[in-house]
Amino acid sequence: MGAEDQPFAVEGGAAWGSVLARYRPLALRVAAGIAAPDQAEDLVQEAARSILELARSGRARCATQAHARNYYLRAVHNHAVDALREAPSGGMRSLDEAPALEPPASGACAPESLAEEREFRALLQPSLARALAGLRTEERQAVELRYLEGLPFARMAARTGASISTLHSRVEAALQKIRVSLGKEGLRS
Amino acid sequence: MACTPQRSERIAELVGRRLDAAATSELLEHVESCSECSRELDLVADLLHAPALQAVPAAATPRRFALRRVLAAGGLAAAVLLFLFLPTREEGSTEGCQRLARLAPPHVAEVLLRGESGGDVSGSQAAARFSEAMQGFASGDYASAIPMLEGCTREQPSNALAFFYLGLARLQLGDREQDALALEALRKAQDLGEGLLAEQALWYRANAHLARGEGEAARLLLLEVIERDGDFEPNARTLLAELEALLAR
Repeated sequence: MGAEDQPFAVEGGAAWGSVLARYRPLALRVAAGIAAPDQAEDLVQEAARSILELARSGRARCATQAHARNYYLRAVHNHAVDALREAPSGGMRSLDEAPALEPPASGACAPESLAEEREFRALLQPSLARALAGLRTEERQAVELRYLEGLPFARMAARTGASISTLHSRVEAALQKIRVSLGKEGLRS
Repeated sequence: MACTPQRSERIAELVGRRLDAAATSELLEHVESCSECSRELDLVADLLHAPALQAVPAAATPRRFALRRVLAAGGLAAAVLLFLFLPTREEGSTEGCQRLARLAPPHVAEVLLRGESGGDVSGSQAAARFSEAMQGFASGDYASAIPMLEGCTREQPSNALAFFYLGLARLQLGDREQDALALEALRKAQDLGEGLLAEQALWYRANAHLARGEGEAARLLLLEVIERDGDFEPNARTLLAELEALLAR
């Protein structure tokens, strides 16, 4: 069973805190892609606060960590769309292209605190650094262009001079090495 | 890896802050039920915690390779050559513009995959060709979609949608010649189209200029988008603010 399929325990703040900590950088990117980048931090915090309020009202647990992740990212998405609607310029005229997402049918998730974020990073970052250190330079570069800049392979090829198939191979090799490295340290299955 | 190459692109675009609300919504719906994409999203989410990833230097370009050699040589000559090989402010903003460009194509509606696009495509053969082209586009096979879309525009010179997707497909290929051709096609789409299509074509023209490092041209087109006061106005304002901050450096 992958880590993402494991049942998600909600006893105490650790479980939800770890979800929010783990996915916060991704949540910031979701927010920045929809609303203004300088609003991303506020939007992610608002989403986390909304989830905390639900926790105080005693909502049910999420079935898996992936479920909890999706709930969190959907909350961020919805807050970002709301922010666009409320923009001083008048916001979006048509929301046909950006419908609000419904929360998971099985009920909301119940976080308790965000205190674990620093602890999560402290645990994960050394492992990530070791994983990245095991990559070849061109593999690290491919991962940076792909996931830091979000470039399609064609543009990566134009930037690096490598062929698209070579870049595919580099990214795949890099991700596999990272998975294996993190898996050895018990961080991923 | 993700379940399809296009999904993998979407995840990369999400991480690169290049997915708009509609595309983000679609992707988040998808990962609810796709374990492959869910796993890729998780791995990428973890990667974002790595400060080392942020510190990875950019690729060694021929100019920078020459720079390292010069530094190794030392001396006054090196200092002079160093001055000659330093990135110019214009190059810096070129790369900066490229980073700002939002080129992710919009979600392809089902009607287009069936070749139906209202009055733009008439006749069963033309509709079939357009459908095939759009299916290629939707699956991320832009190299195949381009000649088909070119055929559509030859057969129907007033087909604004075909010109629009032809421009977008060329943008995804990512080379300078294709970007120039993309601009032509998008200009045609804007001239032939109306309402949201025309506005969208204008938005992508602005981003195509950014991809070419042409900040000032992009700025003027973003001002046009804002002036139209349509659906893309908030996005254009945001992007214009980022661009002006870059150009002011």
